[in-house]
Amino acid sequence: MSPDSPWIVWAVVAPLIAALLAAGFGPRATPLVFLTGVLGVPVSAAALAVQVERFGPQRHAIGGWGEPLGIELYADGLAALMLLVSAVVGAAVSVYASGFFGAGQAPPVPVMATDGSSVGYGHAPPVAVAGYPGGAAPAPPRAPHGVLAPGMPDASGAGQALTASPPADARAGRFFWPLWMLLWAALNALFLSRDVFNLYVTLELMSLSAVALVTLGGTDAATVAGMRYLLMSLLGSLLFLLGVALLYAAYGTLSLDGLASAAAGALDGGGSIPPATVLALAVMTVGLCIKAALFPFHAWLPPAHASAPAPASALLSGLVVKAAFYILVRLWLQVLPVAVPGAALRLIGVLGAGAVLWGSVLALVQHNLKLLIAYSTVAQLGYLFLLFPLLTDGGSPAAGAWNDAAWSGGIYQALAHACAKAAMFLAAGSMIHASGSDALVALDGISHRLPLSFTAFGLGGLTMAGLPPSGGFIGKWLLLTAAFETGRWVWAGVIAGGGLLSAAYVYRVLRHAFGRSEALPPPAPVPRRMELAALGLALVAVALGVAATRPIELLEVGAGPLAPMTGAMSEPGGAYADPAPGGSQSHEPISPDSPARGSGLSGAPARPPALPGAAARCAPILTGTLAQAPLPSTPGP
Amino acid sequence: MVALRSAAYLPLLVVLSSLVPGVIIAFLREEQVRTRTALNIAGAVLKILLVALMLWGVAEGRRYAWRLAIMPGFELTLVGDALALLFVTLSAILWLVTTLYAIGYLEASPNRSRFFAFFSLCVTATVGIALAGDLFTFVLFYEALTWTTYPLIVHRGTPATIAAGRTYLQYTVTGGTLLLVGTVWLWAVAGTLTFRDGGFLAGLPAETHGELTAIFAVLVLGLGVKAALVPLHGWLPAAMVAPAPVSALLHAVAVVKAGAFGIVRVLYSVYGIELATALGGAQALAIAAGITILYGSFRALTQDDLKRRLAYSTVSQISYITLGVATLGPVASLGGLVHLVHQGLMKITLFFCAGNLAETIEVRRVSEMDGVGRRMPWTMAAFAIGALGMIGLPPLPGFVTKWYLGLGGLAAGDVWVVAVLVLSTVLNAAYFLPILRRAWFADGIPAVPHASEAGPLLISSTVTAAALSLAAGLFANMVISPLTWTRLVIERLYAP
Repeated sequence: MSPDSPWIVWAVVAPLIAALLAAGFGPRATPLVFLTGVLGVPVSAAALAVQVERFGPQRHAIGGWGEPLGIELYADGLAALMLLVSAVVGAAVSVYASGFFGAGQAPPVPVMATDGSSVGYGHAPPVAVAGYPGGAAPAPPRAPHGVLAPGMPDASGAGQALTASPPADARAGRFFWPLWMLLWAALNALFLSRDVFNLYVTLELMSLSAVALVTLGGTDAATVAGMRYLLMSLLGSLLFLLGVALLYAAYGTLSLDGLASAAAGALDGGGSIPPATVLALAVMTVGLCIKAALFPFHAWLPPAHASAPAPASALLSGLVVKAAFYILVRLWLQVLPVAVPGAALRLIGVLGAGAVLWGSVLALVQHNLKLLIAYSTVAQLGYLFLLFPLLTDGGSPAAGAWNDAAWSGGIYQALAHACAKAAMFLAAGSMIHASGSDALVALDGISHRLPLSFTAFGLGGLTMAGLPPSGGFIGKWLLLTAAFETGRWVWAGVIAGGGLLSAAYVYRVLRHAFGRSEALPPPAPVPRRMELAALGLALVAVALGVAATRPIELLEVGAGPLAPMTGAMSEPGGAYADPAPGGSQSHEPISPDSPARGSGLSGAPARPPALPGAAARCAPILTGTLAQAPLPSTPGP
Repeated sequence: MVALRSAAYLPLLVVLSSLVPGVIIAFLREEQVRTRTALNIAGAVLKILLVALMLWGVAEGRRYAWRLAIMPGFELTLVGDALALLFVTLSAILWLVTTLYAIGYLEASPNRSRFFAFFSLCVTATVGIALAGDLFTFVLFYEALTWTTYPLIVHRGTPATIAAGRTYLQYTVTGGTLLLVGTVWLWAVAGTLTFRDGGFLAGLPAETHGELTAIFAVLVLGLGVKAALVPLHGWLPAAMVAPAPVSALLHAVAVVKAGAFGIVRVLYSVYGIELATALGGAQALAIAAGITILYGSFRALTQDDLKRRLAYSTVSQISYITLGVATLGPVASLGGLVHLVHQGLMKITLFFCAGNLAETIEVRRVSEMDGVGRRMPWTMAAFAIGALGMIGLPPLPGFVTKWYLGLGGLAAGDVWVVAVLVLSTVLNAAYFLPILRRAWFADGIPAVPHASEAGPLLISSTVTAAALSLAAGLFANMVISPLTWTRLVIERLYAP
């Protein structure tokens, strides 16, 4: 693995090329789309992650033009991991979508609903509700399901019910691929952006593609939900842009590093934070919270995510909402931590707790599968925001003595949720197609009617409820650890109680899934690749619960404020600036004779190996032609 | 050296020997009966062989440990020590017996691949609990046991089983959450979770004792759900609607045992019995166990449904373990720990019999049992061994348990323990003997005099379980017996 290979660029360019191919050549280009985008992104994301792991943060100036003129791409551990999850989820969704949209085959002849058992609630893909769409079925037939139940209306012909047919027509697929590839490119560029204006542009591009994906469902409900989503999303973007303008007016730079040192410098000189900075951060925060659907700005999310076609729902719930959270983490904790008082951390934590409780309660009263999963997203997003109050012991995040467990727990929860929730939405799409309805009651016996998809759903549910083995368990364990280390019981109560509520709403699906199904017609066959894509993604979520060491260590590369405070607000040689030789193991078992409460807050050099200490000492690896100063986060020797 | 290094993988292999077959079975088609059966039996036999190898090694004084880093600072730790092997051996042997029984019991019923997949996963979790070398690993497997058991309880998919499954999840998921919270809290206080004979908290300063007491309560409440401590026992009688092999698994092999074993670990390997007594936790636990023993027996008296009566009997009997380990001194510990095995052997016999009765002649209530002894002599003979053993008739294993528990109670100066034992024995007799009387000596035997014994697989596993129970009591003082092994455990626990 050469440190100079520009994998960071390919992560953005590959889906962009794929988007152009898909837009220009339509369904014929699907194999090429897979070759460039679906294969290209995971390969470059994995390679980039290895580069960051080995050589520290990666930086690339596009075309050799660095800041302030050109566009820079930058990847630290956080960006690399987000990119990796985007790649994994994106690849699985793409495979699923190729079955869902019929992989460019001729659109199936629409068949009207043939039996009274289909209970359309308006949230299912339109054709899926219509029972058994006939027509040319591209996917190979699964094992025959035997004869239809006696007495079942059979107008569409038993023969067609035996072949797996795509749940949505290929016309929707024609728009899906270019939109999704554009979204993917924008999302990856967002994770790698290093200035606030690029963040705005990529956020906007991503949101517009996302809105278009919602309306692909074509139902009235989808159009209305898409419109609401568009308006809320625009509001969020405008607020963010306003903040960008205010910051530019105040500091004359848009670069994250420049902003961080300028803001820290203003404080270092004995001054206070300019009100414009605080205002800018405040409006940006509101905008981002709207986009991240943080309680109480969540109302747009459930209808939008529930009425989109299943692959789009998976992308929206798994990846898109994480983007706004990601920007918020960057701004609050790394760029402008000096403008974030401890009270703000607590406030956003309270909103997160509200989301956990309220989202779960609403998930408990839904009667439709996709709405239940969508409300679960609202609740699970709340967990991510618990990262903020648990990160410090009540003070500003600028000092840099972050609680390890809170940092890795919050982010890990985001990674695990991305995989698990996407898997659940994909599995839900298959189950809805098979049972012909989005209603929970139609899922009776789905555990043996559609075992692979149900297994994917159940394994995803483990992460929601935080049960082992799953990434969600690790995330909750770490967040709980952070709460107990600092003796804050209320947050521990929220984390534990939220887990119980999550288990309760996942149970509402289980109850039906293991029930009897003799009265139901046999399930419509589902293309095999749809089932396997969902299962694969769910297994990734499980694997995150077993092999968490490397991701968590990668997460520490480049963590901490971009411009660590000097002087009163931090101790030099504190946790993050300390290049502990060899890196001592965090949370090391402590002999009973010397009990130590916590480790992250004590300021002691107790950090996992491969820490910024070690990582940041590596000189930033530059590609292109432009020489760069060392990263601002590099501690001076 | 090579031999030593490969031996370190033994605990892992014991876990894998049911995990791998379970995962493969999950993907088998329903018709692949032979492959499924072969995988099931091969896994179970392999597990017993591996366990036997470890037993031999541990008896020689070896200790097996295998580790896998899960996240920075936390490892999946599987340790084969004497206490772990007590539970592992029980689970491994009873798993084989129960698998054979389940194959016969579920013949030609739907969704068997799903059933046997989760059956294997359930045992995997149980073995993981037994071999856990620290509280983190324990929690991991303990929570996994919760969700792997659910599909077994609701296997039939009827409204009654779905309702039972709901109750089960309500209790156990809440209990699991408490255990998780307690564990993380303990870690924040102590900075380690690694089990140690005599406990790893003994060295902590006195000002942490308040917190440690609270953590003890949280942990025991969490574990008490699966161990069916009153008033956390409600799920167990409800779950009796599950198929008989699942009941056997719940009551004898896996779930309640996991709870009881967890309490043993918390007392012996986390707190240490001295610290637990100093904090007052052990006494409170012993009293709760005493109440549970009597309450369960009283409730069993009035149950007409046979499996429900057996379920309340479990509530009562499982707390003998807790009572024994929470009472100070090695003799009471011996009585408690050996009951882990004894209760498992006897209770699995009884549930097999109940399953035979229900499946073969549709008898599910005690009031319908008049004369069943003549119709199903083998089944009812096995039932008699189990029931008399539970009552504590010498030389059956229940007697061995009660003998050491009583001695231990006297040695610790807790005379009330003896009173509880005596009263409980009277109650045991009061709810078991009427069943035996009806089965063998009832007047007015219904007009189906001919024998109609259960199928060969069912009968052979039932008789095997009964024979194992009989042997555990009869040969308690032989070189290879649960009692002898428990003595070894106690020696190592009390002289670390």
